[in-house]
Amino acid sequence: MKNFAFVNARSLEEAVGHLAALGPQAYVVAGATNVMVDIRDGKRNDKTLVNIRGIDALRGIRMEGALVWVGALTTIAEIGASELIKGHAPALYMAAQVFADPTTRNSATIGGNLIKASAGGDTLPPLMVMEADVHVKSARGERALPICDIFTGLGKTRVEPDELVTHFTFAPQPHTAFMKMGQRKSMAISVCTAAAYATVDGEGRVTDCRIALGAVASTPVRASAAEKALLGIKVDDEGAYEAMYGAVQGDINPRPHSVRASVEYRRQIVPVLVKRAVRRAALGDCGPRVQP
Amino acid sequence: MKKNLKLIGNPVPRHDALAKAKGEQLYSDDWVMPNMLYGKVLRSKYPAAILRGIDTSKAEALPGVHAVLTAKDVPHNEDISKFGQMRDVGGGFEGLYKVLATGKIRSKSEAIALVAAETEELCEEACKLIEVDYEPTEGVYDPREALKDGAYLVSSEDASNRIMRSKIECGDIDAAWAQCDAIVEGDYFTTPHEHAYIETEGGMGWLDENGVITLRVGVQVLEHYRTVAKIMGLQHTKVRNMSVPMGGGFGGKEDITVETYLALLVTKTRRPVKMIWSREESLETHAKRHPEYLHYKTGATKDGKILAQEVSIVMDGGSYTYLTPWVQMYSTYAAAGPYNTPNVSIVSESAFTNNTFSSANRGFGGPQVNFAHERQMDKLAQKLGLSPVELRRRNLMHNGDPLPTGFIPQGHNALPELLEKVDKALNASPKPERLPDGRKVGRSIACAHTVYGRLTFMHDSSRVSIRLELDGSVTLRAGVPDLGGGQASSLCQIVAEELGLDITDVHPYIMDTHLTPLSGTTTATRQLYMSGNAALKCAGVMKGRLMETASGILGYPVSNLAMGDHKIYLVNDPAVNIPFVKAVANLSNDGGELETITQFNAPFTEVPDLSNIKGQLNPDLTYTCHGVEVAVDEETGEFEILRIIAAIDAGKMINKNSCEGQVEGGAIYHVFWPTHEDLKWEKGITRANSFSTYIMPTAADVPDVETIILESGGGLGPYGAKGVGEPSDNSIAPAVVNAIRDAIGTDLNLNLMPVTPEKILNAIRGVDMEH
Amino acid sequence: MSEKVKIRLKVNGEDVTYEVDAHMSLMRALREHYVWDVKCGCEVGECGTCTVLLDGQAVKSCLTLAAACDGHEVWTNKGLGYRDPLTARLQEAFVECGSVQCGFCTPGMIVAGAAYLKHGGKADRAAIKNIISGNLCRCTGYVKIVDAIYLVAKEIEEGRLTA
Repeated sequence: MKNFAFVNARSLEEAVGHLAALGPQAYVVAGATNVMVDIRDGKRNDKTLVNIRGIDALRGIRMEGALVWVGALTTIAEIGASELIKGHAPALYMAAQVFADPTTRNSATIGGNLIKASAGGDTLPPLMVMEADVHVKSARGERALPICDIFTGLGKTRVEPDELVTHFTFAPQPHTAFMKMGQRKSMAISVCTAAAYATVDGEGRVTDCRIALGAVASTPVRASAAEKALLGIKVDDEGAYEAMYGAVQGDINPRPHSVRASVEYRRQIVPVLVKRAVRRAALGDCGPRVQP
Repeated sequence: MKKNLKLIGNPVPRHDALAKAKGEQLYSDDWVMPNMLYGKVLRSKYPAAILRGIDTSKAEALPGVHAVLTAKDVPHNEDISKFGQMRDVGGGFEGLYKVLATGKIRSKSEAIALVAAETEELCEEACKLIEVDYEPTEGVYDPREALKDGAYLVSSEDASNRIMRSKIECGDIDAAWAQCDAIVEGDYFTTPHEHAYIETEGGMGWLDENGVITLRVGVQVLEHYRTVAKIMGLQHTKVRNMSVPMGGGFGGKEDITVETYLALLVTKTRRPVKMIWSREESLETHAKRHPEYLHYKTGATKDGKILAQEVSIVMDGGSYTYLTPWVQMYSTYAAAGPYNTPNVSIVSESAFTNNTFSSANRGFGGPQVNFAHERQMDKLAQKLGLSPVELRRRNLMHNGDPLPTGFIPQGHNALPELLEKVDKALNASPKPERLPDGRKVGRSIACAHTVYGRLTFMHDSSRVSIRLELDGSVTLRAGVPDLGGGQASSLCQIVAEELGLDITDVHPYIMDTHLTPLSGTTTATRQLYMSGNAALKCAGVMKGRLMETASGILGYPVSNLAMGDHKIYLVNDPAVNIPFVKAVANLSNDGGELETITQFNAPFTEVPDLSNIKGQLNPDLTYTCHGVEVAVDEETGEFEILRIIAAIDAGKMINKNSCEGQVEGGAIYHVFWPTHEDLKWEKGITRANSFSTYIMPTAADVPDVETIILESGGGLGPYGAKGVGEPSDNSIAPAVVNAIRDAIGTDLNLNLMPVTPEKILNAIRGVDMEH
Repeated sequence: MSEKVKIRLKVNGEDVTYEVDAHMSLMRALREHYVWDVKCGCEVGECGTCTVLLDGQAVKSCLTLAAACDGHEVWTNKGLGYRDPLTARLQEAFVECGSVQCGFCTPGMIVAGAAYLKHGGKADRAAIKNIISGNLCRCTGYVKIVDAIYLVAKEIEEGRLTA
């Protein structure tokens, strides 16, 4: 039998208080788009739902000094409509355009997407190439975790049970992009995603880059081998990507027997998405269609 | 036939559209009763097993549980499956219908036990407490394996896995090959296809004050009440389904769903019971379109005249017979395509497997063979150096040409015209090699002929009744299950047209087994043809009575009078008239009959010799042609549908919106079937058991369907209408895949569904994934 | 057994108090209180037929925790149709354009469409297709649904109707 209790946290302090008191019994609910499915499927039971949806302090997108500040309760729809995000984090903006579907985006939050820690969470590779900090708070205090080190396994993060994700910060970076391959254009769970940060010199050679990939391992991953292989190549030279095509294979470990795509297929398309993400990041192009 | 039609063809609002738009329409789940319980089915844990025993004691002991039923609790657990037909057909067409599992378990969808409890959650708990002793067995999951000697036997009741074998032959196929300059051969596979109506199966049942098992279940076949009565050991009069509109059917609510389960649970508990299937249960349990393994060999002369078509089909019937033999008739009948072919051999076999059972799905065996023969046509055109359109042009059947059974369809065949229209629309501008973004463009056209009306040896009939009300309005009654196609509303439109009324003057009461005349099933694209003709006939009878009455009042012979604008008037001088309502009053005053019921019968034939099927199997055919344009991403194998042109000869549109709605909806119903919509069966397990894994198109995935609707007047329905419901989805699937072929320039990997991006990408790279 | 939670909310303009299971979805809570135009098609956010307005935003009510809706405002297709002229017009447009077949996706489609129009959505077929792409329809092929939303968007743009 389903067995849940419910508490409503009206402030951040109340929320962390509940988490401290409840420990692993607590189950934070914000947009609820993941929580409701996990409850229905019986994946979680015997928990106290801690509702944080009403805590306005956790909502919003703004500049804090030199950094972009995004509250954990900010919805994907708000991110996808933000000019600030479009200019300062195009990869995140692009991910928000293809995340689930427009209606679900009105509920789903960026904090929830992080805590779900699914391999294919669409906002995660963009946050990784932005090298975002994840800020958490508990009764014990506050700390910031680098997103690239936060995932410890499928559905698992370094965020402790008594900690609440409050917001994300990252430095503005207009040269980022995001590519998603799903089985259809909307309501698609990612077959594979790639986010890129890439800058080029006057000759169009990559001077700096970061690549993060989704749905190709048990967690979102940084593709360090691919990053190395991309340095110095000319972004518009088709042949120059060849080294990356091989290198990136070492960065990924797609799940066998997936209902969405084979390991071989994921291995075939990952480098294509990386190439496209890099080109668009370098160009600062966050328009809707994939340009082969 | 009436010349100046006022209502027929207009896009008048359907009687139920506003209620549905306003959210007032109540469906199967939108009902509660005092003291009601919930019901649930425990399904098998294994796709293949021997059921050794069931211990229900723990489940029964759970507080709040009121019934736990197994096969021993079912008065007559086995019956012969019937599908609303008025005639016992026999001859291997009717298989076993078993309510709850005994002996060998045939699939994971097998119902092991039924539970009724105070809440849905208690039902789930009770199901977990039922201890089932299974002996898992190997099972067989490929019908080709199932047909081999020594194969695992799926059922405990049959000595073989074969369900049916049938054959159609004409000419001399063996001699024909020598005359062919070009021969193409191909193997094809079509995936199980899910109906995916947004409303899952479900409903309520209760015992009325006289002990009648009363059901409130949305179904396509009301006549299942007879099966329920037989299972319960009751007279047919003691089971009633006061059905409700379905949230989609498409053939998936054609077989019995929750009716017997509810009947058993309400009889046991004497309380109302509601049962609603979850989406997962729906996807894992109800019938699918038959997966088919097809082999085609097609031969033609060098100038593109098709001489020979040899086809063998193996159909996966899954766990029970249900409609497999009937579907097989359709596949076999349509396998040669709408092309004149002097030498034909079509052999089809169907077999049990431990997969979810297969049965009706919109198109009913037609789309599988259509996919194969239209793939063949494009390959043959390639080999002959002809354009695919030209090859079709040279071989299409015309009026007067026989089908391979020798039967000459009586209705008009507009395919030659449809082909030209689609070709013109699709190729209005020359095909670009690539889009500006670099994707390769492909175009293709495919044709189909699809039957409407049930198999003629089933001796189909329909009844409709109308009653004139004293205020001049009309009550129409028909046992027409409305699954959303506007089935009932079209009948109102016909009656209003004939009686010179507005559609709002005719109100339909539909789909109650014991209060509305039995109109037969909403299947086989038959309601407009059958019940439409019955309504036309019924309106004619009433019209006759009213004209006689008016003739008496006005003093002119009936032949000089006409009906229209709520009047009966003198044709030469409409000022001489009486209001419709006055004619009704006079008819009533004179003791005339204000109510009538009429029956329409389809053509009747005898059960064919399955080893050599000849003659007529169906009343008529509807012809369609689809044109598709795609763009293929050569680096990922992804494709996008850019254009869909859907052309059909509707004979006569009764309601323009309803007709277009079928043509648009039919195209999109099938557009993802060859590429995306796959249940991913693995050894009897449905891996795609949700709408995030069973991928159908969203609005963002498809272009606006461009419809071309001809009205030849050459159908057997009212006003020359043809059926459009099922035909609308035929011929698009091969057009999609042929367009991909046109874009990438190879047939590699495009023959066995699902044609995934992975297969397309490998085709581009020359890697064979099908052998 | 889950704890029972008492919530006060506004449903279709009316103040109501529901007692819900702590884990219950808004969809289930509404349906338990006979708000039957909110349909259940999948219960995991993959069909969209349970779409409602929550504080003016279209959301999937099966993915919304009922207990968290305490103090919030919910409008469904049926309620909107009787109180909001724009939705009433959109419902009529669905009838006129032949956008309704089985009708099971219709309430969710209309809510998604009404939310689009209320937020200034334009008469743009691609944008309309995008906004209803969280709502599956198996009958219509979407053409006539897009037609209806487009028609009303046009009426707003031409000043014949206010959003």
